[in-house]
Order: sequence, then C-alpha cells, then structure tokens
Amino acid sequence: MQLESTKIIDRYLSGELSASDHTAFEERLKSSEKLQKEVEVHQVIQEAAIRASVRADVQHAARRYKLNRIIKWGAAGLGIIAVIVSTTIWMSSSSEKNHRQEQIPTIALSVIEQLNPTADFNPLPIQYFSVPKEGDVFLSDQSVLLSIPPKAFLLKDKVYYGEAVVQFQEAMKANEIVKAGLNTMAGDDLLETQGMFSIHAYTPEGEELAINPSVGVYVQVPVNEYKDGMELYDFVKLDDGTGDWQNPRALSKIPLPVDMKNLDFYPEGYQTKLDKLKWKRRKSKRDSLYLSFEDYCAEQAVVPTPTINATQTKSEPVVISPRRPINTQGMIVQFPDFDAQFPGGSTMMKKYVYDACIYPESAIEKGISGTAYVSMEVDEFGFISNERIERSIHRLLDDEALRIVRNMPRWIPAQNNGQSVRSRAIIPISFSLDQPTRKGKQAETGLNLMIGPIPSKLENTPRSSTQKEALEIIPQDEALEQLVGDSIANEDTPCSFPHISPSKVLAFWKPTFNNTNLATREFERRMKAIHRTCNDAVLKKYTSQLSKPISEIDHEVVNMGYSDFGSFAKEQVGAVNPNNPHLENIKAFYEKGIVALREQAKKDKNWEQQLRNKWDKHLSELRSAHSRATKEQQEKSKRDEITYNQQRTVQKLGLSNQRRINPVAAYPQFGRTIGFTARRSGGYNCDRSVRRIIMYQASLRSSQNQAVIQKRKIERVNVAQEVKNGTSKRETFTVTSNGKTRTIAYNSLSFEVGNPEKYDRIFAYVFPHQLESYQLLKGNNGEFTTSLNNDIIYDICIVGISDGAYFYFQKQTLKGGDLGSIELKKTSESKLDASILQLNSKRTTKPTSISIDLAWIKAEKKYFKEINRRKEMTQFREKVVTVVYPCYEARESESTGVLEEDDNSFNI
Amino acid sequence: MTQISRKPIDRDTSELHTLYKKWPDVKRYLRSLGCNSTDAEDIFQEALVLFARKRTQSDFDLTVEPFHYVKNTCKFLWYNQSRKESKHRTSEINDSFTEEIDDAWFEKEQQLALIEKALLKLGEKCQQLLQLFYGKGWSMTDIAKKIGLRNDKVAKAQKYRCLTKAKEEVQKLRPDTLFTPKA
Repeated sequence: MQLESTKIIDRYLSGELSASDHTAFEERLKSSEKLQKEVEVHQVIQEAAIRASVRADVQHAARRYKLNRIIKWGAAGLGIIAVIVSTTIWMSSSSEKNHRQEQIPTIALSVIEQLNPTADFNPLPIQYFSVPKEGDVFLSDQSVLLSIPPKAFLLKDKVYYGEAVVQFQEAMKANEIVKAGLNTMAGDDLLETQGMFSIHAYTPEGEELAINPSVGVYVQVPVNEYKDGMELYDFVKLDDGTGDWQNPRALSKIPLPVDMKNLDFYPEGYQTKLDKLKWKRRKSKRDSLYLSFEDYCAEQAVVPTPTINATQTKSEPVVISPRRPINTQGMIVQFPDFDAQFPGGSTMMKKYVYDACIYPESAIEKGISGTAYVSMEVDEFGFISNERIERSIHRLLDDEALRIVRNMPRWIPAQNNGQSVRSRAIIPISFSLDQPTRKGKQAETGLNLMIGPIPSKLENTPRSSTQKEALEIIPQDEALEQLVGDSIANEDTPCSFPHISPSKVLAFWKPTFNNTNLATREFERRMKAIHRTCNDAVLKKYTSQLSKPISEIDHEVVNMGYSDFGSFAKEQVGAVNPNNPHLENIKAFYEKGIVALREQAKKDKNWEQQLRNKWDKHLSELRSAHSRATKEQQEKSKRDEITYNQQRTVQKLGLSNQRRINPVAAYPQFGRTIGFTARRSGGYNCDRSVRRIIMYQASLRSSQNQAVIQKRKIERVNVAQEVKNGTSKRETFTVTSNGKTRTIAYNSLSFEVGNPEKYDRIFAYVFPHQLESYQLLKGNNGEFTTSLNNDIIYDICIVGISDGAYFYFQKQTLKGGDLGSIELKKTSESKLDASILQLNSKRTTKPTSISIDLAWIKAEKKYFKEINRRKEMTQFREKVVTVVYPCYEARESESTGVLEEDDNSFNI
Repeated sequence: MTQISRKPIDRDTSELHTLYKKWPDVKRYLRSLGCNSTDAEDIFQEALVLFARKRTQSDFDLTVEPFHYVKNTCKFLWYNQSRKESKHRTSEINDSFTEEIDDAWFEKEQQLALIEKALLKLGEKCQQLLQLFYGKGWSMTDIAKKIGLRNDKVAKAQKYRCLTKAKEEVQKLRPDTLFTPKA
C-alpha cells in the first residue's frame, strides 16, 4: 500500500505517468491533504538524496586529502610504512599494456566515474589517486606503496608533465583474485602469487597515459613471505577472456630495516677478536676502542725514523723533511690550550736530538760547549718555520742547532679550542763535551754497591744532565705527548696504509639512521666487504647515496674495480625509503657526526695522555726523591762500613784513633798500668797521607802521686785512611801498624737468579747485622757478584717483580760464598712486606731509611703495573689494529712501543 | 510543482578537493572562535556541501573567492550552532552575513540536512542508489550494474522500496523539523 503510493508519487514527480493518469492524480492531490503532504515528503527526500550525494563528494575530498597527508607523514616518519617484507617492482613501460578498446570521452561527468568501467579487476574496489605534476607517493588500502616521480608518464609517446589520475586496483588476497576472475597461469605453468595489481594512468581529462620507460613508477608490494625467485609478470588478456602472465622480470628486494643497535658494522673479526681477548663486551666500550684507532695511521706515520750512526759520521741524517712553503696566514697563538710538541713527546725529541746531532769537529777541537736556545714557529699542520737562535753559544754550534731543528719531522701542532693553531716553541739544545761516549758513565764506581735510581739509557747519554735541565724549560713539557691530533682535521693526512676511519663508520651507526639503507642486514654484509676494500670512497658511495637502491651502488662499486661486489649487485636490493625527505638532513647529520667523533677521539686521546703524563710526572718526582734518598743511603752505607772497619782495625791493632787515648790501649805503649792520661799533640788528618808520625804526650802519675811526664813519639800508620781506602775497594786488605798486622777480609758472594728473563726487575738486598745501613746489590741479567765483609754477618733477600706479581728469596746469616742458582718463590705483596720487615727486625739497630726503599719498591711495583698496562695496551692494540685496519701491515717492531721501552730499560 | 530533471548532473569535484586543502586554515580559524575540532570538521564539511549546492544554482553569482565564501559559511554555521546551544554570544552575526547567506534558502538547507541524516538510517545500497539516481542523475541501468542488481527494473523496484523506507524514517522525525513550504 505504502509502496504503491510511493510508486505513483515518484512516477508522477518524474513525469512518467500517462496524461490521463497525471490529471487523475492531480485531481486526487487537490482533494487530499494527506497526499499533498506525502508528495512533499517525497520531494524533500529526493532533494536530501541529492544533498547526500554532494556530501559524498565532500567526504571523498576529505578522504583523499587525509590519505595524501598520511602518505606525506608516512614518508617522513617511516614507521607507518614498515612493511614486513616488501618487494619492489620497477615498472617499465610495457607492463600493464592497455587492452581496452573503448575511447574515453574527453569530457566526462567525472573522470572517475568514466574510468570506473575501464578497470581491469572488476568488481574489486578501485582506488584513484590524483598525482600532481611534481609526482607523489600513495599508499593503497592494502599498503601497496606507489611512488610516482614527475614525468613518469607518456602521452602519445611524448613525456607528459602535468596532473594525472592513477587508477589502481589490487588483488592481494586469494579471495580477491578469485573474485576478479584472475588466474595465475603463465603459459601452462601455474604460478604462486603473492598478489596482483593493476595501474593505469590518465590525464585529468581521461586520456590514457603510458608509463615513461626512462623514469618508471616505483611500486612496493608487501608480501607475507619473501621467496627467492619471485618475479614480476605482465598480464596479457587473451581472446578467450582469460589472461596469461608473461614476461617475468626480477624484482628488487627491499632490505628489511633493522634497528641499528642490532647491527654490526665493525670490521670483520673485530668482535670475535675482542671476545677471544676477553675484552669488555659493552658496545659503548667497543665503540670507543674502535674510535681510538681513529688516528692510528697518523701515530704511525709521524714516528720519525732517522737512522744516524752513533759513530757520528758526516752522513746527512735521513729525516722526513717538515719544511713546506711558509704559511703566514694563521695568527700565532701565544698561549694555546695545548702546546705544540714533537711527535712522541720530549722523550722522542731527546732521542731525536741525540741521534741527529753531529758535534762539529772544529767545535770539539776548540772545546766549545753550551746550550743553545732555538725558537721556531709550528704552524697548524705541524710544519716548522722561522727557526732562529734565541741564545747563542758559538756560530758553529748555533748552526748545528738550527740544522737539527730544521730537519725535525712534522710536529704536533698546538691546539686551541680544539683546533690546530700556529704557535711558537723554544727548545734548548745542549752541546757538552765532558763525556765522550754514550756508555762512559757506567764504569764509574768501583764499589759494587748500587743504590739509587737506575739510570735510564737516556740519562746515560753525553748530554744527560744538561738535557734534563733543558727539557724542564720546554714549555710543552706539561702537555707532553698529547697525541697526534692534527691528522683529524686534515683529510689528506698521508697515511702509510689505506684505511676506513672508524669515525666514518660510527657516525652512521646511530638510531638516526634507522630505516635507511644503512640500517639493514644487507648493508651490514656489505660493510664487512667495504672494510676489506680499505677504501673510504667505497663507503662514501653508500653513505652519500641513501636514496639509491643498494644494488645500483653495488654496481658503481664494481665499476670502481671491486669485482667482489658483483655478487652483492646480483641480489637486486632496493632502497629502504628513497622518498624520505629527511635523507638530506641525515646526510648533513652524518658529516657533522664524523667531525664530532673525531673531536671525541682527539679528546679521549688527550685525556689518556694526560693521565699518563700525570703518572710519569709523579713517578719522576718520586724517582728523584728516591734518588736523593738512595744516594744518601749509599753514602751512609759506605761510611758505616768504613767506620766499622776502622773501629775493628784499631781495636785489633790495639790502636785508638780517638781523641782521648783509651788508657787501656795506651797502657802497653807506656809500660805502665795505671793513672795516665794521654793527649794527642799535633794534627790528625786522615786524608793527606797514609803514614805520619803522631806524637802522644802522656802524663803519668806514679803511685807516689808524683807526676812523671814522658813524651814519646809514636810513628804509626794512618790506619783510618788505610781502612777507608781498603774498604772502598771491597777487597781483602791488610793494615800494618805498630808492628801488628790486621787483615780485613772480604768474601765474595755470588749467586744467580734462575730464569731472570721472567722478571721485569730483580732487587737484591744485603742487610748487614752490625751496620745500620743496607746495600742494594748491582747485578746483571740475574747474576750478582759482590763481596761481603768477613767481620759482618749478612742477611740477603732477593725480590723479583714480574707482571705485578712478586717473587721472593731470603737467606739469613751469610758470610759470602756461591749461592748458586736461586729460584724465587712467588709471594704476595703483604707477605713480601712482612718478610722484609722481619729481616730488619733482627738487626742490631733499627734501620731508618729502609722505609724509603720499601716505599720505593712499592712505587716501582705500582709503576710496573702501569707500565705493564701500557705494554699490554700497546700489544693489545697491535693485535687489534690488524683487524680494525685490514690493510694495515705491522711495521718493523722497533718502532712500536719505543716510548715505554726507553723509559724503562733499567733491568738490573 | 517542479520536476526534477533527469539530465545527468555535472559536478566538478576538483574545486572541492582544492578547497579541502584549506582545511587546516579553516580549522585554525574555527578553533580561534572556540569550536572544538570534531565540530569544526562537521561544520567545514557542511559549509562545503552548502557551497557545492549553491554552485549548482543557475542564479548563483559568486562575488568572493570560494574559500572566503566557505570560511564565512563556516563562521555563520558555527554561530548558528552555538546560538542554539546558547553558549556563545550572537550579536554581530547577522549584519555580516546578510549579503551572502540567503536566509530562507539556508533555513531550507538546514531542514534538508536533517532529512539527509535520516537517510543515513537506510541501508548502504539504498543510500547509494538514491544518491546515484537523484544526485548524479545516473540511469537505472547503470545503477543496476554498479550496485550489482540484475537489471534496471529490479533497480527501479528497489528504488521504490528505498523511498518508502525513507519516508518511514522521515515520519519518525519530529513533525516540526519537516520542511513546510511557505504559504
């Protein structure tokens, strides 16, 4: 009933009623108010339907606006388009050929509606994207990403540059494929499909566009599972209405973005090597270790290798010339943060100057010596210029000093605010003639007592004393050995081996680079290969072309001559997100990151170096304190023994050298037994002559209380002097005086420590029971020979230090002899201390200075730890560097670790 | 009584797309007037509908930029709405709109919007059918194909069913919301 009236009203309103029916209805309308109302409602509904369709248009516009926005945002944020595994397809012009016959009317009611019937996959939903002429990126309902670059289409074989409408359909799921009536046959073969799609492009007027083969359209299809051998097929409609898939082409696989923190861009074997060496596992630690190799190359390159004969022939020293065109551009910085310094620090400079110096013969003849001060400018690159004499000695020596300075290798430039700057440096160069040979000092003392600082090789050099003083004047002594920093700023630092700077790797190994080509397993594998090339140009290819498909870069690298990248190129790996607008920013970020990391590397090195310098300074203070103390101790020990011997001798000979003659001793000379005093007359000088006559005046008192004065002249040997001389030689000697003979016997004591090479240092002490002082024995390669006073009982203790462990041996109440080979037993530090204290407790008098020595041993022990640490570090770095820089070849071992070796070459 | 012409309605949607791109501006504008973002979008879409409807009128002579028209309409709609909710002041509205907004027409559109809402209660297919037939002026044959009906006759029968249903829905509305032509 209702329906019937609706029908009539509708037909009436749309003029479908016949003329008679129409009049009849109008008649009814006039009479029935209810009908009027109903017609009204009908009209209103019609109008509302029109309005609804307008609203639908508006909502369509809204959807499209939002979709475009999402894609824009998605492209920026990337997280949204994180497809699990995606396949990329580069469409070429031939794909999806137009197989429609009908011509689309040039003027359509709406392009979209006109295009609808042309869709391939009816009745699947059709999606339209309007592409501005600049191109755009779209995301379909099922996450297929379409990227349409400008000029991607051809209109009648000409490049079309303008707005386009893209009609897109997708059949990704099996039910959709079935619904669209599609098959998966390629000829007679059945294909396994991960989805189908159809793309058509039209001008806004509805003219069909073809794909421009030279530009192409980028389509990214998400698939559930990436299978090898997946290819892109073209659909060709056959006459029978079915289709065939033909012309398969390889797909490029989009690398799966992986979080940076799960990737490993270290050189191959770095991790395993460190694991093997049981090095710290934390990535931050490993990063900073890796970064510490940043200027390893420079470190190596700067080590000068002057080979000058010690015999001082006139041959020109072979040195790396630091001279270059004088650059006066930079201002000289008066007080830089870090002074310029000789590569390797003052120690290396000492060595360098020593080796490079040729004492002019005419100066030797004339006996000229002294210290010349040479000043020079060190520019930002470490080159030396404007050298001149500040304090002159003699023209001959001035010239030599200048020559030495001019031939110096490149310096490490001064640093100010983290930048290399020009600065001035003054170095004193001493010429001295007192000791003709390098080893002159060693045979100096005959006494086999060696207490005190063990002279380092350098202190044995002819100029030892003056140079030591001189080096303290050098301003850069404070900021010693601040390591080669300049290479950092200088891209073109000459490097003896090709390498990839750690900073360039670490700079992109950051979360910022997530979701780029670099944050993929694919690039991880390539990175290992890049490390092997040692060519940072290869790395740059990848880091500077983030939007390029990886396989294209692979090809470029193959063209650079690295054919092993060919296998990578075959993988057809695409780009992660070529449309990411942030790629440019990221690139800038990368460049900045490199600089920052280099700064960091520099800072770390300086810090490390400062620590070392502090250590060294502390130690050298300690050493000089100890040196003073031991010198005193040595003197004291000698004095003590002399005194002891003198006393014993005088006693044995029945003499007295005391001012007041011992009555008991004087008695036999006077033949009386009681009551006399003896006064010495005349001088008593031990030093002038060995024999002299001493007049003793004795006043004797008789029992009758009568004074009898007798004067007797006694000629006697200056026993004291004899003993002193004898004791210094530490050989058995005889003193004759007053008709009596006294022999002071020295027994030889010898022993050798087994496996001396096991120990870094061996200390051997003898503790005389009767004396306050003690002796540190001097040995050579674990062999010790000394002589002990027969009158004295000794204890001996031997301490070996090796890698921070202590080895100990002790023997009490010795009188000499050959102890043979002694094996030291391992002991703990506290036990060692206790043993030494216990030895000393048995002494008649408590030693006062032993504590200094013990403190010294402790300091030495500590220092040994430090030195060992440094040695280990050097060795460790030697081991690791071959992994870090695959193209690095170890240099001759002599140039490695020179610093440490020189400082500590004091095996007893 | 006028008949609704059966000739296809040629509507250019590109203008709508262009206008929609201004949405952030409008949103900001409406927010500045104290409108929340959900309402703002409704108002904006309503304004676009009004603009599109006005566009189809033969006597419509646009004196300002389409965007300004839409923006002003938004403003008007917002004040209208807030007046109903009697939350906001209403003083300066009328004088600034008299030129552009035809009151009677606007009133009518308001009513239609309500009917339109009622139509939303119809099934998806009904809505589509009515929109395509009346709004886009498609032929029954095309509509049948599009919606997936056997032929135009079935489509037509379906249309009657839809209209009847629509009437029922409209009846459910309060009587005063129904549009009554002026005497």
